[in-house]
Amino acid sequence: MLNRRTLLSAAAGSAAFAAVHRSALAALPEPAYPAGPATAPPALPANGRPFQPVVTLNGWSAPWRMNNGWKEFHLVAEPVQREMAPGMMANLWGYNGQSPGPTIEVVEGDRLRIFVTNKLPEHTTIHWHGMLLPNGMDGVGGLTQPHIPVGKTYVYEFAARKSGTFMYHPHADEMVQMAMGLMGSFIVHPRDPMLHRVDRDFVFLLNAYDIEPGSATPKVMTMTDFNLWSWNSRVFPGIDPLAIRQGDRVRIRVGNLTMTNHPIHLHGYDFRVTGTDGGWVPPAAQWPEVSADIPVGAMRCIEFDATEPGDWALHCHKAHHTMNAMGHAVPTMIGVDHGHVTKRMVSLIPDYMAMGQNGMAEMGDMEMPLPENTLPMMTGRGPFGPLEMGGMFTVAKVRRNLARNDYRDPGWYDHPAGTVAYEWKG
Amino acid sequence: MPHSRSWAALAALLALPLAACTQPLTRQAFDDVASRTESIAGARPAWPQDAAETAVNAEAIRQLLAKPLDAEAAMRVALLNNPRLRADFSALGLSAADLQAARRPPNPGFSFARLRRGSDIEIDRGIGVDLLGLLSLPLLSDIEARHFETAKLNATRHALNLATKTRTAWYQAVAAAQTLALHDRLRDAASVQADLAREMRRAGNIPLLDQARAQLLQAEIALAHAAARQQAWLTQQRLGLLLGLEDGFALPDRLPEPPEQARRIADIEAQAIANRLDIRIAEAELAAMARADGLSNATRFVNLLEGGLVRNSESGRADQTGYELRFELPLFDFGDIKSSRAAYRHAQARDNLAALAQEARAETRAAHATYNTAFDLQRQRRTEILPLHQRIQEEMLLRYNGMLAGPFDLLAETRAGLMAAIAAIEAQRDFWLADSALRFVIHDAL
Ligand SMILES: [Cu+2]
Repeated sequence: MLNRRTLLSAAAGSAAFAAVHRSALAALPEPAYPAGPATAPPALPANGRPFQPVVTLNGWSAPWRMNNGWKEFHLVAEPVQREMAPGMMANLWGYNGQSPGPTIEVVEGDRLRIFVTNKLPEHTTIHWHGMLLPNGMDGVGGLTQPHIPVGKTYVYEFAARKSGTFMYHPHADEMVQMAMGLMGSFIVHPRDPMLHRVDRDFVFLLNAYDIEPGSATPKVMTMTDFNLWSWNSRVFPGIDPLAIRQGDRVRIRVGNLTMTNHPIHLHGYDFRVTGTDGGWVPPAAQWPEVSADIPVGAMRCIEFDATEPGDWALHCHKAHHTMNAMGHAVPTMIGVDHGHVTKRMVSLIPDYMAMGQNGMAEMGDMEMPLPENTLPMMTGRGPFGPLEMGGMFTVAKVRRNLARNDYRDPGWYDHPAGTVAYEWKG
Repeated sequence: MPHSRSWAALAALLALPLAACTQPLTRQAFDDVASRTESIAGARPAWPQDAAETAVNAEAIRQLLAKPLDAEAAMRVALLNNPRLRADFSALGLSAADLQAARRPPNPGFSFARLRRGSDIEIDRGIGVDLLGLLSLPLLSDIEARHFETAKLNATRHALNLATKTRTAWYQAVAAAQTLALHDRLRDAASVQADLAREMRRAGNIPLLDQARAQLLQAEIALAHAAARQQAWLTQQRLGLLLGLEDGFALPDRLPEPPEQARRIADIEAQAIANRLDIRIAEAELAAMARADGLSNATRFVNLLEGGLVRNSESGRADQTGYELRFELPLFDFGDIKSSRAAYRHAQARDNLAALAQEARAETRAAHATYNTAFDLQRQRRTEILPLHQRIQEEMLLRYNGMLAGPFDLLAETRAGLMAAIAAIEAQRDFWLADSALRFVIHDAL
């Protein structure tokens, strides 16, 4: 991932542009690469129409170059190594060094030219999910265009006709290529930057992998029994918290490219569903929720005013989706008195330890040797103890004293005295 | 038949003095046998003849039994203590007596006959020398000398055979005990599984179906355990019999480690042809038949019937060879039939030797190939398969730690590992058996 190619974050977009200037402008734009798996802070556009940038959770936005009124991007589809959380690397396919690929941010009315270079071992295409565009730009291999052969670069040209939240993904050997992590977010900002304006605008895609513990490559044939439920190909404790300034208007855009629905639940707030990949929901039609169910192949935007400070959990409400890899056939040991067999087990298997007799909370607090490249089923520590989470879980950290453009983790919430649940002592 | 009577009388008369005068010859013969056995097997058999020798022998055995017997020591004890081997050695004495008798001229005979027909009584008295016996003296002593040599070779064969059988039995017994220890663990693993399943069923966590499966597994493994226990007992008994002991011997708890490299033996077939005792005996037989063939042409009236040097393969019985001499009056048969018979016997002995040589080479080649295969198999089991099982068990434990596998998965791998360990012991045992066979096959038929 950190190869000898130009390593650029979205924030360093102007540097990327300088690099492009050295080559001929007529040539392909130099593809840009991110610095690492951390969330890149939003970068204001250096040129073109102004917009209020989004924050891609554990991701970044692609730089572009202007060329005679065209906004030009260069996506390179290629095998990548993605750290899904510290201690676990996945062999995925991605764009420009990461899975998911960089978020493409454009403005309503922009004329787009997107170069797609195929460095995968097989042909590919890109479908621009939700975009209104000429049929021949829709990216369905065999149906609307020839596949992009290995080693070739294709060009997509279309105008961003309406603002909204979209995504891109292959439509060639689609099942395999999406199971391998090829996807990205696509944001079209309104021409008027004040329209649908929020203070903090987060975006991420839901994805799922089946990576056998002790291995690194997804089992692409898996249909339902995934063991890593991820946001932008990251799982807890690898998902960055959402740093939010108290009083900010917040939008979270979530797209679902897994094969099941995910009820994304935010603690501490009720919010409104303000948009789908079909467009913005008129204010009168927006409905309140505390869990927004994201259907398969769809996006939802939720919005709320961050009035309540605190560490608010944000997670999928399917309990198995807030776990990392586990054995779905492991028998329940709750209530099984195995004190007397434990000693005999240990004489057969010296490092054996009886587990699960009283539930599995002990797993969240235990550090036991695991197969290589495998995350604990439940893990993480909070200020009060083990979090016992994995998968699609992170925290929205709403703080009073946060700078306007500060997205760094503010640490754990300092609760006012007398506002934390306490033990009753009579 | 007058001959029979005179032979019987002769034997009866010679019986007492023979026992005394054949002792040096027998002793000499046994020393040859013992030295030859020692040079091949590395241990000397004993044949105590008096109380003092018996005491010395008993002490040697006692010292060997003071600590757990390794294969070498077991072989020594067998050579010193096996009663069947002593019985085989006694045949040496008998053969020596036969030789001694054949070298002496027949004693003069005295005959007395009282015949009665009706009221007539006729008494014949006479004294005479057994002319026929005198005539056949050189021939008889030549045959007996050869039989004596054969008896020595056969005694050596018995000792070697016992040494090899004891080694074999030792490997079988130690391997069976080692296997039983693994079966103990296997039984533990199955019983832990059954107990855990019972608790899980009691807690309502698994259905009766799963518990019954765990019980079934336990029952099956208990049967395998019983078979292993029986095998351990039986092999121990077999070894005891060869050692000449009912009990009172201890064995190490594991087989010796096989060598890092397989033994390289050059010209093994040539060694077998040069060394094998069965071939030595067949060669002697061929030489005798060649002589007899010549003799039958020279003395056409001598009918030499060789009982053949038939090895008695039944263990513990003295080898039986025999001959019969008969003089005939050449009224109808002028000796031509006898002459051709001797020629056939000569040819038979020659062909027998050729066949034996071919068989020896084949047997040796097979033993060598078996040895090499057994070496590779035990090494693969030990250096590849067992470490892989170890690795798999470790990985399964890591999975268990991460709630990726359950306790039954762990126990299944433990069982698989124990089965592999049992197979490895068996492979190790088979290697040592092949090693033993390879040592033996260049000295005698397996
Ligand atoms: Cu979910």
